[in-house]
Amino acid sequence: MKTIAYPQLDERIQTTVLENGLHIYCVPRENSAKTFAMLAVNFGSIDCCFSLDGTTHSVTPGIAHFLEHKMFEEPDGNALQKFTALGAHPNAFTSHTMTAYHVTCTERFYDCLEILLRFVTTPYFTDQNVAKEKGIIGQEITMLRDTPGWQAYVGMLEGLYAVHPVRISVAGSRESIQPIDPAVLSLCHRAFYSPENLALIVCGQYDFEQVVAMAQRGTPRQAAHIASRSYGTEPECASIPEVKQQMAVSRPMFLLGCKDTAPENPYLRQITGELAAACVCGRSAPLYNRLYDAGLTDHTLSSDYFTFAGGACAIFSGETHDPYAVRRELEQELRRIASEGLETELFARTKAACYGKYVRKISDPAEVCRLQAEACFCGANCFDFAEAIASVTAEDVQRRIRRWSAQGATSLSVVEPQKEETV
Amino acid sequence: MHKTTRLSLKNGVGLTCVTTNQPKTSCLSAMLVLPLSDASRSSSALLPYVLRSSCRDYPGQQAVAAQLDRLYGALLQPVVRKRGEAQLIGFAADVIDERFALSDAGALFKGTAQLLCALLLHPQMPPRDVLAREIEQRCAAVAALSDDKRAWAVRRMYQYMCADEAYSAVELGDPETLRAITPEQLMEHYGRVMQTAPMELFYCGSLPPEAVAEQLQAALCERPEIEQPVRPTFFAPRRPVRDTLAAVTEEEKVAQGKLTIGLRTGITAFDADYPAMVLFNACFGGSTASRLFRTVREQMSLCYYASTQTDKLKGVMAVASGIENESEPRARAEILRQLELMQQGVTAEETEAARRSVTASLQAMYDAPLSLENFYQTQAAAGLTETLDELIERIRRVTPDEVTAAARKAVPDTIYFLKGAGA
Repeated sequence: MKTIAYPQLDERIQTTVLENGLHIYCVPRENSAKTFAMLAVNFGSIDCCFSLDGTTHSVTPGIAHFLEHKMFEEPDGNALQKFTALGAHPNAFTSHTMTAYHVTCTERFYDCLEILLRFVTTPYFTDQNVAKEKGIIGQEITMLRDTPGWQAYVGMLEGLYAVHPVRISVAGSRESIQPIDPAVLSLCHRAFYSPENLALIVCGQYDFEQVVAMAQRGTPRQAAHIASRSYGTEPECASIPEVKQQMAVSRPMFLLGCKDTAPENPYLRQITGELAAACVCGRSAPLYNRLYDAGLTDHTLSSDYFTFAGGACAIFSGETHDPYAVRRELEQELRRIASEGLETELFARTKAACYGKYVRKISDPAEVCRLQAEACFCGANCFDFAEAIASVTAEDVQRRIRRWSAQGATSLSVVEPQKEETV
Repeated sequence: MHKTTRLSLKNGVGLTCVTTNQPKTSCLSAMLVLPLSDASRSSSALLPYVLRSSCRDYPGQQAVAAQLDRLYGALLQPVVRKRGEAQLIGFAADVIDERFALSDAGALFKGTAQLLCALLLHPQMPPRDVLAREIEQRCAAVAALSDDKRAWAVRRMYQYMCADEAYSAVELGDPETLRAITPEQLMEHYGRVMQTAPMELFYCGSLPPEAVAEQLQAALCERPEIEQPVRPTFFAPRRPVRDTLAAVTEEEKVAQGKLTIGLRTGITAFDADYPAMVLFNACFGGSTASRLFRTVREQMSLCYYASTQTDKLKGVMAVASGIENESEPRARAEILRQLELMQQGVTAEETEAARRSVTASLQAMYDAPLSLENFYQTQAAAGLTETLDELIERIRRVTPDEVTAAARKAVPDTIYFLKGAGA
C-alpha cells in the first residue's frame, strides 16, 4: 500500500495495484455518515471502434451505455434490488469517456462491495433480458430527445467533430440500439472490463486491508487483454459552423464550442481550459458583465471545458434572445485576449474561484470518487488540482485562448423555439 | 459529530445552526417567509434578484461576482421557493471552510455573511433600465418552467388538482404583474416585507453557534424587531375534495408523453403519521426497490422512470412517468393497481428496505449542507422544530401496518397526461 498525503486539503489517498492490474484508491472520511464505492471502467461511448486479438470491430453507437444497464442483471435477480434490500443506493452512469457503477451506504458496506465487484465482472446476458432493456433505454433516449440542454450539447459536438465518435450521443439512438444482442455485449465486456482497465474507488469509512482482500477475491485472477482503440483522424477546424434545432423551448438556448488540440497531459489541460474559459466569460469577467448589462444574457451564461481521448474543447453556453450576437461578442473577446493578454486581478480571482470550486466538489464523497476515476484514467489523482491550479500561468491560459480564437475553430449550436405552423 | 441548535436573534429572526466539520464547505441562508396567497407575490419573487443587482455597497452584477470570486468562488444565489402555501424568498450562500483558505483564513464566513446582509439591508432604488432587465429575466424564468417537461407535467397536474387553492400559484410570479412593477412600488414593498415577514437564518459549518449568532446579530443590527410577524397558514385537506377522479390531457410538440397522477394524502409534516407517509412514498415510487420501478419499468418495460414525490406541507403526492402515448392506458391502470395492492397491505420486507433507504438518504444529508439548508428552512417556514435526527428516530419506529394505513389515505385526485404530439 502507498499513501499519498495532501495536508493542505486535509486528505489522503491509500492506493495499491492488484496482480491482475486492478487499481484501488481509498479516501478515508472518519466523520462521514456515508461510504461511497465506485467501480469505474475506462470504457465510454467514444470507444466504439477497437481491435481485439487481431480483429477490428466497429460496434453500434450506444453500446457502452446499454452494457451499463445490462450489467446489473444477475442469474438470481437484479443487483439493484439486492442493494436496496441492504438500504444502499446504487446507480451507474456512462459518459463519453467512462462507465461507472456506484453505491452509497451508511451500513453493511462490505456486503455492498461484494455485490458491486461481482456484478460488474460477471456478465449475464439473455435474449429476453436484452430485448426488455430496449424498451427502457428507448424511453430514456426519447426523454433525452425532449431535453433541450442535452440536444444543444450533442449538436455542438456534432458541429465541432467530423470524425471523432464524441459527436454521437452517449446513449446512441433508438435505431442504433436495435441490433444489440448478447454476443456484442459479451464482446465489449471481454474487450474492456478487464481488471487492468478498472479502478475501484472508495470514500468514507472502511478498512483498507479488507477492501483489498475482497477485491482480490471478487475480481478475475488473470487480466484479459484490453482492446486497442481508434478514434480516426480529426481535422483541425470545426466541422460545421452552425447547428440549429427546433424544440419546445421558451427562448433560444446556445452552446458555442471552441475546438482545441488533443491534450498531452489531460488532467492539467482540463484545469487550464477551465481557468481560460472562466477568464473569457466567467461571472466576474468583463464580457459577462457587458452581455448582462446589455440584456443579451442572464445568469444562465456559463463556461466550461471538456477533455477526452483524442480531443478537447471549450464550451460557452446560456439562454438568449440573440445567439448570433452573443457569438460575435464571444469571438471578439477571444481575439482581444489572444492579442492583449489578461488582466492580472481577473486572473488571480479566477484562480481563487477555481480552487474553491474544486474544494467544494471534494466535499462530497460521491464527487471524490467520480473525480478520482476521471483523474486516474489520465494518470493523475483527484487532489492534484491545488498544485495544478497554482502552476498554471497567464501565458498558459492565453495560449489556449489563442487556439480558440483561430479561424474556423468554433461551432455554434442553437436550440430555438418551434415555429407555429402556418397554413 | 454534529449538533443542531435553534436560537432567536431578535423578534422575528430565527437561526438554526448545524455545527459540523464534516463537509469542506459551509452554508448560510436567509429566507423571508410570506403567504403564497399574498397579492404582492410577484413583487416578492422579483425582490431578491433586484436586491442582488442594486446593492449600495456592491453596485452591479460584476461587483458582487468579483467579491464572490475573491471569496474562493463562493456561491450566493437569490432563492424563491414554494413550500405548501408559503413563499420563501431570500439568498442561499455556500463557501469553502476557513481551514482551506490559502490566505486570509478566518475571513470567509465573515465576508460571506457581510455580503449577504449587505444585499438584504442596503438596497438602493433600482434605475428603471436595471429593473426592466431583471423583470424580463424573471419573465423568461417563468416561461422556461415549461422547458423541463418532467417537472412541468407535475406542476400542471398540481395546477389542475389545486385550482381553487393558493397552492396553484406560480411562486416565481406572473409575467403580466411583474411587467407592471415600478421601482417605487418595489421599494415600498421591500419596506413592508422587512417589517412584517419573519426571517429565518440557517448556518451549517464548523463555527460554534455562539460565534455565528454574534456575527449575524451584528450584521443584521439594522433590521427592526418585529412584534407580530405575519405567518402563512397551511391548507391540507384530510379528505378528498372531489367525488370522481379528474382527468386532463394536454398536447405539446414533444416526443415523449408524461403521465402524472396527483393524490391527496392529507398527511403533512405536522402529523403523527408523517413518518409512515415517508415510508409509503419510498415503497410506492421512491427508489429502485419500489413497486412502480419494479413493475412499470422492470417488468412491463414501459418507461425509464416511474417515481413518486410529496410536498410535506401540502399533504399531496405526485406519481410521474415518461412513456409512449400508446402506453398511457396500461401505465395508468398499473399505477392505480399497484396503489390498491399497497392499500391491501405493505410487507414487512419492503417496509424494512424502505426504512433503510430513507434513513440512509436522510443521514447522507449531513455531507451536503445545501440539502440540510432546504430541510431546515422548510421546517422553519412551517414553524416546525423537529430536527433531522428526531425525524430519523420517528421513522425507525414505523410498523408495516402504519405504512399500509398511510397508503389507504392516499386518494387519486387528478390524472394529467401531457401527450407528445411529436418533436
